[in-house]
Amino acid sequence: MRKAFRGFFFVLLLVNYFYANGIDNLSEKVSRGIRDFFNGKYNINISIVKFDNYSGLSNLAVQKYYQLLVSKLESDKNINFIDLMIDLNKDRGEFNLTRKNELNYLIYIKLIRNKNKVGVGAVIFSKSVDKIVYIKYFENIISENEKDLLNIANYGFKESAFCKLAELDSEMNLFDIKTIMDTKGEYKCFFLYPKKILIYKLKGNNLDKISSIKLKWVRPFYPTLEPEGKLSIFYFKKALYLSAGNNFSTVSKFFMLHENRWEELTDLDFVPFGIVDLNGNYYIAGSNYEYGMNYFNGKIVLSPFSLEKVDLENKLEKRVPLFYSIDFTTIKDRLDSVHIIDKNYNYRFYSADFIEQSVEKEKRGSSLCSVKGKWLAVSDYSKLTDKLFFYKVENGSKKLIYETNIKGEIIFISSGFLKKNDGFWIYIKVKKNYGKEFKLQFWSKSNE
Amino acid sequence: MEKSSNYNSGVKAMSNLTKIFVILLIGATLFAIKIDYGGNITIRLNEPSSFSPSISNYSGLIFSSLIYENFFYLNNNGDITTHIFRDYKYDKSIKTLSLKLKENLSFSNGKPIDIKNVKNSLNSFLNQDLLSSKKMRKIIKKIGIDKDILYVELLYNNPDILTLMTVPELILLSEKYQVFSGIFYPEEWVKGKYLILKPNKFYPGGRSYIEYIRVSFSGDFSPDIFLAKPGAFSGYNYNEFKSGIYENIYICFPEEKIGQNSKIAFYTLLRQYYKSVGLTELNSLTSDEESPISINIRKLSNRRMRSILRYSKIELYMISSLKGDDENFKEFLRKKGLEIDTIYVSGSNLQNLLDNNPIKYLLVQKLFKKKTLLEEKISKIVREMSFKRFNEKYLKLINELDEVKFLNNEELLIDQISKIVNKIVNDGFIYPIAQKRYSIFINNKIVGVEMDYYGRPLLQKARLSK
Repeated sequence: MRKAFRGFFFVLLLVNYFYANGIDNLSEKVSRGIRDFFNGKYNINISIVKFDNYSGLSNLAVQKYYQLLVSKLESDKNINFIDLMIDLNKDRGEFNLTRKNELNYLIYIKLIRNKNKVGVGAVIFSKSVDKIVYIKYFENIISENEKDLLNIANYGFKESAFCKLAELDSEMNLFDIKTIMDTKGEYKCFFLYPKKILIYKLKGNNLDKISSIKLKWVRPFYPTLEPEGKLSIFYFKKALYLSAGNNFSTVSKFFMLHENRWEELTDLDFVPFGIVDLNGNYYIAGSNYEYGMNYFNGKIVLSPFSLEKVDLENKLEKRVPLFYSIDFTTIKDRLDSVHIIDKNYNYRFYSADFIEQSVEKEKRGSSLCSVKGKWLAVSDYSKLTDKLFFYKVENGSKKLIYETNIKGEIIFISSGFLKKNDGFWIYIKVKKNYGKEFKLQFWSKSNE
Repeated sequence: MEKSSNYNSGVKAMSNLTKIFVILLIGATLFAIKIDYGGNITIRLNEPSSFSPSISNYSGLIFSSLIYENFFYLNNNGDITTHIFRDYKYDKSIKTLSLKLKENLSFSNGKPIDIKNVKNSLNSFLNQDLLSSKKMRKIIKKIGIDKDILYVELLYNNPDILTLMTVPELILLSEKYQVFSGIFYPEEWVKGKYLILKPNKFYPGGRSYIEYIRVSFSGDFSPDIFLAKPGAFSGYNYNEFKSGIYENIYICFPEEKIGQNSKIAFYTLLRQYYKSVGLTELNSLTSDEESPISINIRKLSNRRMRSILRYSKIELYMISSLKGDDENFKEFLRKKGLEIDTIYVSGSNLQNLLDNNPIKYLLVQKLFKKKTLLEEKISKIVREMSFKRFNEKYLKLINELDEVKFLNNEELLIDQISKIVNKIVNDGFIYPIAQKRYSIFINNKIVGVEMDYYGRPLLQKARLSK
């Protein structure tokens, strides 16, 4: 039976390979044309800034085409391709154009239909000479079978495939997980529970408990039917800081690692998510829950931070809608973008200057997390069977690249590191005949 | 039998304490789609006279459960839960129940709940003139506190103490007026129309999902939760829950010197009134189905009744929970051509009033759980409604009833109950008038409501379904 299954799987892969050939060839032709144009030019920034689809291919199929094209352009070492696409909606690309001034060349891509072929018009605009410097048309047959496959295969091509690398049994009241490499180069995992933080050492692929921190909460205390909490851990000037906040206390606990001991610092009056660099100044970014409830109050708090001292008097506040989840994408601490799932389950994407770039119309689940300023994972708007959506968010852009079904309900998604891979911890509740159980999964790109 | 099952379940609940605590604290209802906070629920109840706890009628019982927190809850399966205590256990060897308070609890105004509040609340309950208070008073030797633990030492071994503590009257009280321990607190009261209750953000069981509750006293708002005759709204968008309770109305004559004709005239009048508003006539002390003795009191003709009542200066004292009927009752009296002064008194002031005033006519309302044993109900009637007429004969009869209970002889038990009922009827100080029976109807858009053993809809986890 297992052999038969393997055989079937192999056949499926072959079918996938042959059927996906048309779109792959087309992307290869276009990327080669563009790369040829830039041959001999160095240190230039290029980006696709306009992308229209009149080919009749589905939105999903065209997203895959775009992914393939981008991955080929990114692989060219002579050019610096910046991916600015936020979304592809109703056959038209939406782009984050705040970085337009960094670009030397702008690329327009248009897909059309020519009888049984799909055609691509590629146009390159030079900013320095302020005119179009390249126009080329390419086409390829995309068979009906391939079109069907493109509509159902869920981004299953190798370049973007995420996979589950580990699954562990877990306790029911886990709030959050964070992973960090300590000063000795060892990876440590921090597990937040209502009254404690458990610290594990990552030894190979195993987690060995090494210590714990008790969390003592005092009044004002807001008992809640939906307890939640957030951990943050970060380095600042070579010192390691840790915070734990929740929706039943008005303050968060803040610690600094000193001589191998976690020293408690002054409580913070907001829930920290991490440290960000804004215009050369460092801030602890966070928000506040509506006390006793399961969502945040719609204010992003930025508290100036210098050695051990959080300046709570001079906090900056940025208004956003009430939200369930938030995460800050940073590149070397510099804020790149902000991601929010609002209280209506709409995904909202903000640039580094907190200007809203897009709002997804399709509802998503309440959990969201970004990793390494590059990937974003979001849960599904579903109760019985959940899904994970993976987005690529590099350079202020955002594109859906992969989705997968999850057996159970996602409670939170958190960034982590396991098996030499950066990725996502997913905390899941699975209903069983006899009740429920909780699982912890680690998802990452296997080829990362 | 029923008690035993409650107790066993109670012990089971204790042994599973950790689990229960975790469930209460953690909730465990986080999904990819979260539970939505918001929305409002309208409950149709009788207008309370004040925010003092009052459970003499069903409406008051429900209203009190919204703004006051019980020490313990007893669900329909006999499981015992609490939001106030993080640990509770009965130690047989020292005949002591210990109750450990949860950390960081606060009243609705944010002031800390400490173990002294728990002790004072228990003492306040024990000092009330209620059968349940008296029963507990009889077995408690000493109440003490140590740090965050309350110790209740008993005179003799009684592991049933925990079940006794589930009575709705045992609530957590603040020493300050207008400070509440329940899931909601009153924010706005438009007299005669509605009351707005807002979620108590410090509620020990976890803040409500609901944004506000409107307790409606008029027909201005379509209610989501209301009481009505069983079956009255079947087939509509409501789920019907049997309340498991009934509410009896009695006319009492606390003073001895009242003529028999006056009593019967009053009885006739009140029977006519309650029949006119659709209530069932009550011909026994508890309910006609279970009582071994029927009470048949002759009625007077209208002419005779009027001639007796018209020429007397009559003051009818009524328990304040009956005030909702005031206008109808006055209209009824006007049609009958009778002038009777109606004076409403709250349950908490009643004893004091009776001690200092010669009250001749008193209309009371009593709530009974159907499942409660008949002997318990009879004891309650004697203890709570005999007032000045309680004497050593009644004490003897009640003591005998307590003894017979342990003989496990049904025949003897019913015989003893019959003797007591017979004496009450012969002494003529309580006449049963009418009985109200209810179901609770809950709009099916509301989920998470639990009915407890005492017939209360508990709204701690109520929310609107999407």
